[in-house]
Amino acid sequence: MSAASLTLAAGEPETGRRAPGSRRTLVIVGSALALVLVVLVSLSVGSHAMPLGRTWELLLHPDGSADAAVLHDLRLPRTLVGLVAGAALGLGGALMQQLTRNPLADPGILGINAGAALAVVLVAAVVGVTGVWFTLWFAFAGAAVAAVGVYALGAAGHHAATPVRLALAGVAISAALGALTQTIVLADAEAFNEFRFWVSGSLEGRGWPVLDAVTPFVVVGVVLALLLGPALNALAMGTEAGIALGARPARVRALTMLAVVLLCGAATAAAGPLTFVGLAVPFVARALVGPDQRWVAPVCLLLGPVWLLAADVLARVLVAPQEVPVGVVAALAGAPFFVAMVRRGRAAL
Amino acid sequence: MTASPLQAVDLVVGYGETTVLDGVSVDVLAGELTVIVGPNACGKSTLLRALARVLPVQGGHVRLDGREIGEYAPKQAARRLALLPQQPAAPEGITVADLVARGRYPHQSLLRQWSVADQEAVDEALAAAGVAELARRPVEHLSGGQRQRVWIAMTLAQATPVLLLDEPTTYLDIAHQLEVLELASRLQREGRTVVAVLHDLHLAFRYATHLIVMHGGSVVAEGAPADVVTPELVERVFSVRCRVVPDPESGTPMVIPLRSA
Amino acid sequence: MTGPTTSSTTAPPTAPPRADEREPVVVLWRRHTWSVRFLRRAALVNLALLAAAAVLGVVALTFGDYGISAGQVVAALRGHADDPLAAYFVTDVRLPRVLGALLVGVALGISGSLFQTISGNPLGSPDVVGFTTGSATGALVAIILVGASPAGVAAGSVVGGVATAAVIYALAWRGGVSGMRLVLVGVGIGAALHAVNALLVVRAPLGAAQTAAQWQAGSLNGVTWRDLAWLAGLLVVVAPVLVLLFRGLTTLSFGDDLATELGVQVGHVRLGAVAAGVALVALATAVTGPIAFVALAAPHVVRRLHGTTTPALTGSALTGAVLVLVSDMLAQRLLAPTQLAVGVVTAALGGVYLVALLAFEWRKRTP
Repeated sequence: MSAASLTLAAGEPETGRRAPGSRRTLVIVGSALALVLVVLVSLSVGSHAMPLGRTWELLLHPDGSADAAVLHDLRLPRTLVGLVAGAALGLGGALMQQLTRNPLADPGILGINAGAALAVVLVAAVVGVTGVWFTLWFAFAGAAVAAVGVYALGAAGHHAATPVRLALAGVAISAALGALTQTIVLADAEAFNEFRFWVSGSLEGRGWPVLDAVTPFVVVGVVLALLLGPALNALAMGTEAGIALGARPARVRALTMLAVVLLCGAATAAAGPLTFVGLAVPFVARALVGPDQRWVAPVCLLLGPVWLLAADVLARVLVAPQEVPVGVVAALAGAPFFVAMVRRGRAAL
Repeated sequence: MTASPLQAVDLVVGYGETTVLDGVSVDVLAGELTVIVGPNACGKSTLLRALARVLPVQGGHVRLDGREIGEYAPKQAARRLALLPQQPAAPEGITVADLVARGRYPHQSLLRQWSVADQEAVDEALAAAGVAELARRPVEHLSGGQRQRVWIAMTLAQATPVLLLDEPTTYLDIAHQLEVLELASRLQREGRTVVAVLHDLHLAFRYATHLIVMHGGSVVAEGAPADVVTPELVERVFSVRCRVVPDPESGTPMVIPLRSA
Repeated sequence: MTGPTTSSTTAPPTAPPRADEREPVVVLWRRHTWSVRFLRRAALVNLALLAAAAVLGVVALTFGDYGISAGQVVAALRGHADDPLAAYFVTDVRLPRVLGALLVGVALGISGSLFQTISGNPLGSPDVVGFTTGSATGALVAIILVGASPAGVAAGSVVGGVATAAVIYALAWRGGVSGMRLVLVGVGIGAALHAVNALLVVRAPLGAAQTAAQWQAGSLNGVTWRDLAWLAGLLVVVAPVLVLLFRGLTTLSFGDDLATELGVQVGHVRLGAVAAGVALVALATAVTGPIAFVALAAPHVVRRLHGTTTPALTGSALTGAVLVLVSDMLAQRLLAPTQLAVGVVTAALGGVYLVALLAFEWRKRTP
């Protein structure tokens, strides 16, 4: 029995043969390694290219050279924002799909993107304010308000906000908000110009202030999401089965929604709506480690940034010295991969 | 007489405008295998689910170990009471072992994620339900009968003194039906309190130590099968004219429908 | 069931009992083994929608700078107008617009209902599943890269939509197409095309980008009789296909296994429905640009009005028509003299109405 209990460190039921826990650990380690690699590449690539070895050196021992300045003042914050946003979107997407039990649900569906977009556009049109720092806070506020509205509608009449209600409420409110956004954008050229760049998603110009603003929310969201894992597992078998196991559906759903707003709201505020990351990364995670939320969450946390940073690298490299918006690359590069997975039949929730 | 671990007192339960149970009171007897029978839509499943607190009640009380069930923390209640729901949904791609392991949720917390006790409970549950050799298989690849036994294993892994089973013999062939009921009977003899909703009268009368007969949202008869089951009762509740004879193997009542003229 | 059906009364297929089977049925015509039957509530709702469309149509014909009363409109339509200028405005300028709104609404409503049934998902609509995005890509390429005329843009839209549909269908095909796989592949391709569209808009000079954005919001300006001829022609061609598909679709909504067991050619029904749905959306988008949300909202609204859970093609068509017409009327009048884009109003209207409907329904129902 003692040998068995030693292998239980991975937190998995021993099933008599080589435990799936070891395969899952492998996936986590592999993802972590991929992340480190992508981060290094992201820090090295750009108009001021550096070999990876030099990047590693400069990270540890900044020497005041021009290279070091580019690294520390431009690339490092940008890469870190991409890391934080990617992790937030990946995890947020996994939570979203659990919450609505619908594989069509992306983080945007709870009104987060629509709220953020409307706020950005209003600020540009009414106040005439542009610039990453200002739009960030308004976008976050807009996302939060919209999400609260969606939840309130989904829980209308003192009922639990069930998956179907949340999804439909989200779609309805997003449409209404989107219409408003479109009206403003068509009427005001300045707002339109600001909007069309924001809406395709970008990491350009995201510096230390953005990182500092966004990270605390993401950290809280991540902690909350990880804590909710076992409860989400219990509810995954149906609301009644979940109650019978001792879960509290209403509370779990409310907290999950809060986590989604923190994670996806912050990410969208920082980098624009990058919904495809939140849709596709959880699929990959589930295909690799199965439906257990306690494993899916960390894998999403690691693969989300891999996806986003890889896309960002491509975005910088493809039409250098100009940039393609990262949201475009993330979707275009990711779509074939996603479709291939769907065809292999590993995609459903 | 031991105190009843689970009681319904003047329970009123309904959906929307329809009331299914109107003032039903039932004491689940400790250490008995109670079977609830009745025609379709008599409220037997509703009663079971209300007792399990998965269904909100509009009036009356459900008491667990003498206290209002609402006063217990959900996990606390789940450590005393397990429910096998009627049509549970398995997450896509989950293996048998993982699914059964989810039954340990009420015993786990932030600081107690997975322990030896959890592992033992899962192993025992897999063996008791006869699905130990299926542990690595994905649940969706199993037959209906195998899947049902896996769900039973999950409720067994919850390791509770009271076990509620909502139609546990659906989809099972006769051999497996008997296996499930033998298991329930063994659990009862080992000291657990088991309540099952069954629609097969023969097996219900054979295995129940205590019978509850429902009709139109009320309890119409209660007691040991031999005391309760009469042709008059069967005709009144199930609209079937019959004879009642003792089962040659077990001595319990057996319903023989009369041939129509 | 809703809509006219011809059925043999000797051997009806035994579909599982549905809520609407208990609804009173009106038999319109019966002869030998054939009959035409309607569900009463659904038929009444549909008639009400039809009447609403007609009345609103007449009202819409009074909109415009040149004042024309409703009475004059009716007279002009019947050919007895005393003011030739009024007659001209009504028949040559405004009528195409109003008919355009109705026909596009019909096309979008039907398409939405078809896609929801095929995908088996309440969120499944041509917008979500990438077909509308593909139409947009075709049109945007025409506007931004080619600088084409409106006819060229329309052609681009149709080509884009149909090509996208073909790609999605082909990629989802793996010994047959399941609803879920079609939807997921559609979402993936849709996301890619959405990104392409964003890229085109970002890289374009501001003027072209604004034109593109304007197109993407949808508009009924400049709808010609020729456009209407195309739309009407397509509807005429598609209608018999729909009648043939209808029972198969209704049964399909219970699940593939059950439908196959009941003898429905699941693959053929699905392909036919996709083809019809794509054709309708592509042509509608070519005429007016993408009008958001109608395809998604119409089936939901109709389901609540009829009180059924099975696909309602006629009802969705009529709801779509009314929705687009009302939206266009509001778009013209709401912030006059500024004209809003119709797509903006449909999204707002559809969104708000769906919100109200959901809130009302959910508040009523107890657990």
